Amino acid sequence: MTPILDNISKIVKLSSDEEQRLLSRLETKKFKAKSIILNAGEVCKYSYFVNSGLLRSFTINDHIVEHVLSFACEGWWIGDMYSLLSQKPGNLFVEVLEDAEVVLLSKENQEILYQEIPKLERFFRILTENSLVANQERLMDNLSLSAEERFEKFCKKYPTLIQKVPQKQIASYIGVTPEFFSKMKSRLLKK
Amino acid sequence: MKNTILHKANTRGHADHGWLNAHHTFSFASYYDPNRVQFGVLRVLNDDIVAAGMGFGTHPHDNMEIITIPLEGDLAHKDSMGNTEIIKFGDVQVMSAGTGIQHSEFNPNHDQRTNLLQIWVFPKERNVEPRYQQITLDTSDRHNKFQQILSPNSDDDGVWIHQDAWFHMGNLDAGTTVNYQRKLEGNGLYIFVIKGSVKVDGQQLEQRDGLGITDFDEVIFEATSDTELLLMEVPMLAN
Repeated sequence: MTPILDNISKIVKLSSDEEQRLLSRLETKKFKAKSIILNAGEVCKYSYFVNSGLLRSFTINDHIVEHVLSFACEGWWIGDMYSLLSQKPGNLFVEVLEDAEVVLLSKENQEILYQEIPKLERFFRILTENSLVANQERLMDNLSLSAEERFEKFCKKYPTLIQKVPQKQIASYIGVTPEFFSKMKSRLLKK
Repeated sequence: MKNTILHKANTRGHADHGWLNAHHTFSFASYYDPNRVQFGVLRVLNDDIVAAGMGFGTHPHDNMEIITIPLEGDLAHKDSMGNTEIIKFGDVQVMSAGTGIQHSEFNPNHDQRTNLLQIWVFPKERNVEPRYQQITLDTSDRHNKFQQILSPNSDDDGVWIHQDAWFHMGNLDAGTTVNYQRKLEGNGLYIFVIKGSVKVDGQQLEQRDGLGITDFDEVIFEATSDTELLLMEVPMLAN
């Protein structure tokens, strides 16, 4: 079973006819590490599903400072929700960190699929609900937890990411400078 | 074994905001290319054209060595340390942003544009005391030779910064050959052709091209036309 069908089957059951209908509206592309799939200033036309590899989304402030919004590894979705929904230019970059195979679902096709396979509306609704809960949690954590606590939570929640993602990017995701992150890591190792 | 990386002029990021026509050798603001982020500690090399009377309103910097070299016209600078200065062609300005500063930069003339190079280098040490320095150089001292415009040492030629970097400028007549010797082991050299054309160890470079060289001791420059060069020797990052 392809990773994306696997991902969907966890929430809704599609008939094989529906599966074929869905697959026909998806595009699969391979990207090399250090490629940019979405630039800030562009309109996001796709949701991206990662079959393999690693992606990240981030913004740039003060000309050169990167703020990581999210990571996506196998079985995860990523995109610029604001830009996708509004069809206005967004602020997010989506970059490939490790050679990846990515499934692209265009907003246009997604709308068509909602008509053709109503179950998919349920799937994306639940995906969006989960995402909302995760974002709520992350927002509250950023407001109330210390950097150490946020880092420990990150390690518990995403143990595979800790191995794959460069330190500098985890620091950015947690919301601290790389220098602070190094010092914090050594402190935590000593404990 | 020398390694080189070539950045042709037209591969630079470009943003034309009307009042500001900017070319970015390295990722900057909305120009982001993961393969063009930095050369060692050299993080930003911007080639900016600022329209008469226009400029950058007050904005902050921290933990960055910022070097400004006017190529054409003047630049009026005002900062939170109390410095109010005009820099012009022949001058070199540096700000060690350190713990933090704010500054504005404007083209003070109403009848001509300003073209400047702005260079950002990561400092060796974080959170230094912010400082400002501005010097005027005799450009004839860079005729057919390299004139040092920046170094790590306050008692050496040019401005100084909190980093083991040396910058030189050279105006070479067509047909002239000059060598550059590395100052510090491990440093790389980033060459920016301000004007003209030059062969660098045989590699032909044209106006506004950039070339990064690592694992070198000496580099040979052969001007194929009257050429103006900026050489930036900087520490490379362990990776």
